[in-house]
Amino acid sequence: MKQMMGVIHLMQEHEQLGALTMHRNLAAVPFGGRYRLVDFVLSNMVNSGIEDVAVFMEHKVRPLLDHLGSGKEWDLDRKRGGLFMLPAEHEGAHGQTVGDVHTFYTHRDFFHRGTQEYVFIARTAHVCNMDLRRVLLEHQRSEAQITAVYRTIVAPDAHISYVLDAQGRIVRLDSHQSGICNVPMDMYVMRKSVLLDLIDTARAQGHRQLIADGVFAQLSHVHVHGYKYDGYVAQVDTIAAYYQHSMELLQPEVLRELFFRGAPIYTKVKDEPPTKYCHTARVHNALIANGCVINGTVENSILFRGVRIHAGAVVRNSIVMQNGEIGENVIIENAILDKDVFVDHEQHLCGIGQTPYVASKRKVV
Amino acid sequence: MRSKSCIAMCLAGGEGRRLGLLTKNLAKPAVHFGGKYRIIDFTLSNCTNSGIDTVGVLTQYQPLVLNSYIGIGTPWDLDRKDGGVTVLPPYVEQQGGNWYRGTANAIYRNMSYIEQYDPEHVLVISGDHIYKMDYAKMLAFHKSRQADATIAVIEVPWEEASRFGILSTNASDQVIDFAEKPAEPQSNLASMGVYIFNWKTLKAFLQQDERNPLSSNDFGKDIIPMMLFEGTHVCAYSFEGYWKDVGTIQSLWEANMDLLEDEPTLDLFDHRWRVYSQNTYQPPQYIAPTAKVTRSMINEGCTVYGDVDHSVLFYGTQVAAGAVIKDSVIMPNVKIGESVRIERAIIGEGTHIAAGCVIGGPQRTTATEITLIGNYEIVRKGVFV
Repeated sequence: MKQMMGVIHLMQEHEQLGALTMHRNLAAVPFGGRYRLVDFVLSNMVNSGIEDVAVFMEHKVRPLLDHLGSGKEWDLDRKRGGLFMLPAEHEGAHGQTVGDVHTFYTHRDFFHRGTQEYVFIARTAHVCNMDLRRVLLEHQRSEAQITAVYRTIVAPDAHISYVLDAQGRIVRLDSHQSGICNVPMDMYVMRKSVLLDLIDTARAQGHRQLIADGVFAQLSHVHVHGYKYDGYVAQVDTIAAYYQHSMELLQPEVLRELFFRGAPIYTKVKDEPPTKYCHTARVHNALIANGCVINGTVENSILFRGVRIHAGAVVRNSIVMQNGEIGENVIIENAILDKDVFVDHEQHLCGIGQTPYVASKRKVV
Repeated sequence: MRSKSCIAMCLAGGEGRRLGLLTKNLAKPAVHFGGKYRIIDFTLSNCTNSGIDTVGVLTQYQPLVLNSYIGIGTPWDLDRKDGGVTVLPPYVEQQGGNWYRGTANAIYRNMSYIEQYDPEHVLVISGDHIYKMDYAKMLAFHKSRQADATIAVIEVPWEEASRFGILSTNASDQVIDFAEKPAEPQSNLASMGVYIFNWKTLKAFLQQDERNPLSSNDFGKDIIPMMLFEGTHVCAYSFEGYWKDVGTIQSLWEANMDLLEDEPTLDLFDHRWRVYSQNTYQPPQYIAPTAKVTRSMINEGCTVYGDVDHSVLFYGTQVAAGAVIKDSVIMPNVKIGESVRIERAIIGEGTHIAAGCVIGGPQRTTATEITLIGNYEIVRKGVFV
């Protein structure tokens, strides 16, 4: 039953992951040993019966295009519908994009073409394994125009928080909130007709941000319902959060919740052989993808596909991305090594606590 | 349809009777191997890596698993508009239908499939051998020798030669004699069951063989001897590298163990010659703080809390704390309970082994014996096998 279309919204990504987003957008950031962030939201959509997905994209899209390809891995290489990669259309005299209203407007044909009644809009910073049909169901019961997904956390530092009334309607936004917060997850479901109306209104009123200006600035006349998600969420929006949430994957219950309890998370296939552990390998508490060859010691770490750990090397509390090579007797602690990093023998790389050492893609150390 | 220079016909109907419980519900080419693969992945990957994009797969025995595994050939890049992979089971014609009588009969019965591509050459291969081979090089050899047929051969130890089809060649690689499983072998060049034929020549011989009611319609027993008898130009192409026919539990176990050497002859890590396989979309493997893993190959989706040494673990296998696995092959989605001991064993797909069981090992078996637990079995708590 095709009820929803999906939009993966990659415009104005404000999340900054330093070296990790230097040459790629946030959606394409590798995560969890063999995935990229976009895999989670895209798999959630597919697993929830969405067969038409538009990706609104802006900058540094080559890695993302390479990763998603025809959408085959997500079963989105369809004759009708499937995956649509939609680049931002520039507006204004200097060719810059201002806000996302213009993009929604220029791509409105995507919405007109589908027969589905609802649209689910999401970004990629929130890693979770969510059944979006439950959001839709609650939205249909609520009679709201829009439903926004949030989660409730105890936040030590300032966050934006939804304030809800007893019926679950979002009445206002509190910024700089700490303590118990209803943190937005940047996911929205609404009728297609509501979305198209929002786009037209936003254009007429000269708004730039569809959701911020057109919805959350107008909460008195737009009925927005809040859907509380109780499952595991990793919000990957800073290097520190990236590191912290990656390390959380080493907790078996987090791993179970993200990968084994719900539907599968799909990603691009690399056809790597199983990982090989040699006789000198010592591996404790590690998440390891296929195609690795391990001669050294790996503790509390994540190895992506095709990583080589030579004899005598020690990798501790670290993340080594695809095809990384760690030479003999190297010691790496509290580090994030982007793809194709080569660390020559006898080197010692060390980050401090929650501030990991970050090596950018193809770096030779 | 464009005509093809060379198409492949892959014989995949083998029952693999000596693999016992593992082939109860599936054909031998569908048997799991190497932590991730099924045996037929090797020949299909060879085809695609050699630039052959049209492959007919002849199935017969228990084809269900194999058929759904091959599908439209996507994992091997064989989902093509023109050509690609086609599964060819025996079918019923107006005169009635019956099983393929032999390897040659299987090809004969699918002549119309071959003819639609109007190929110059036909590569006949077997779906139950494990090896990496560039058929393009063999085809170049075949053409350079202007042969009518070329048989790939590999040197085997003399003491094992009587288990194979043995060829004798002259100085210019021409085959002068062929003997199927000879008691006293004249050479140690064994046929790998990989043949390239000029299609016109093969077609004539297949038709001739079909007219002979005494023929067993087999390539090794009938077609090749007949070609040699009639003076057809048959050449031998020497192959060096890993090649294994995993006909028995022992050899299947050995082939898996071969992968665990420091520098295995069969290199699965060569990016220029990837072995493709259907993907199961499992998360990375989790090796717990209590685990110890050495000299092993482990696939995605496994969680390991116990000790694993010198073993191959397929996807989705769970090893509980205190379990010890040694010199064993654990097929997909096996659950191994706490304090289980497994030694020199093959555990079939989807089997559950409850806590405290002891399987295999020197106390229970002779030194060379491999303990086999079948697919989807339940081994209850504390059982000794």
